[in-house]
Amino acid sequence: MNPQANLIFIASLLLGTTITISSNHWIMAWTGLEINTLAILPLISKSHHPRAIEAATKYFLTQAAASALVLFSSMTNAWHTGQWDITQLTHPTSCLILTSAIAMKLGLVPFHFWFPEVLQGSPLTTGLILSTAMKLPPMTLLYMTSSSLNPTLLTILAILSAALGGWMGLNQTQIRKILAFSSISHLGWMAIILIYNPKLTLLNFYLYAVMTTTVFLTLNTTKVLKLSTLLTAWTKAPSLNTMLLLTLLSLAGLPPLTGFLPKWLIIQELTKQDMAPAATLISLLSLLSLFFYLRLAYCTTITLPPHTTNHMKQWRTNKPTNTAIAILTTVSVMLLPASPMILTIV
Amino acid sequence: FFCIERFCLFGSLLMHLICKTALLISALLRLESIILSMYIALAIQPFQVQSSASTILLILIPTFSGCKAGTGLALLVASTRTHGSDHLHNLNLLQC
Repeated sequence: MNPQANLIFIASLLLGTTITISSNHWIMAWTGLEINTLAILPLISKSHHPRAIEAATKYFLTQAAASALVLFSSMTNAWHTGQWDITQLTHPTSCLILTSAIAMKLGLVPFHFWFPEVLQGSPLTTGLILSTAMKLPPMTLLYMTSSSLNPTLLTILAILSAALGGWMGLNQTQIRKILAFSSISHLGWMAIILIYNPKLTLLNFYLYAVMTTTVFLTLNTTKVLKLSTLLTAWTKAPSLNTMLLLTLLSLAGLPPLTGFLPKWLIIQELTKQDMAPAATLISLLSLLSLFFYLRLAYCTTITLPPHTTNHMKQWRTNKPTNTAIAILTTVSVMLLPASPMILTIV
Repeated sequence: FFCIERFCLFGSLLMHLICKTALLISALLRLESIILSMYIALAIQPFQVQSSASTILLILIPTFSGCKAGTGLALLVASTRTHGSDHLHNLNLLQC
């Protein structure tokens, strides 16, 4: 893509995210969300393929409706209480409408239908931006209003997200859709702890962003988009494939890896807050997503026949691997022993 | 008075957006009407609350909604080029 245009879009994304994160008036938050939506649309529809245009249209319609709802909830609150400050959102109707608007922006369950299709239609690096950077501003708004949101609604959204993220990902063969459903179930985990300890929401988001970035960058290096391509991707970069295995298991939340840390802390906090049935339910439902993570991990390890490659290494050399992948893989796999330090930072 | 009217207007417009519309262009029109109704309510509001601090909103909201409308129309043109029409039922290349 044209470098100047690319620069403008990336700079607008950073600007929109920064405006929303650092805002304390609702109009600035809304402005940042709008700038983000507008800036990422050309990145999604970059290739002018029909699927990309369709993904961009669906993304635009849902995000525009959600922004309008955010503005409406803040206006209702301003009308009833006279406050435009983000942390002072106290009117119950406003909180309800805001929760559903942010659920629409993030992809939590009743409003998740756009997310797999948009992620499937966009290129891998844009999918990365959609999964991590575009979730930061709405997550920040939830964090800032977390003390006045409705706990029942958030718990229901979270458990349904974990359930549907697991179930709907089971029958997928396109990796971007699998990653979309993994994102939905991780968002469920983030939403369930929001009322009780918002810092754990942010910790879960940061670690999820690191792990997802690793997966997307690895897939971008080996140009893998489907499960069938993943089966023969080990010939392109064998050690990278092994690290992809470990990163996928970390996303699933298995113990010696980093992904276990947020799940462990969330379950601990939920049991302390007398929500043990919710904790049990959400951990059982994340077993469903464990199945498709294991299937992806299994596909990265197949090296014996029958497969189409006769020789181990492919004769054409790829571009060298991104150094960012090395750092991110290490962080996303080996950070569990540093968990006391992480708890003091977040 | 105004609040009930505003809620009804906004709610009905939102319902129209959520209900199945046949064409992309009518979805864009409904989106614009939602934002316009909110803008009018915001402009009327100081008569009741007596605050003069929301002038900047009255400028920022039409700016960004104009940008959104332009982007929506660009997407309309793009989807007509790739899918042949702007029927929302034709956007089914990406289904599970």
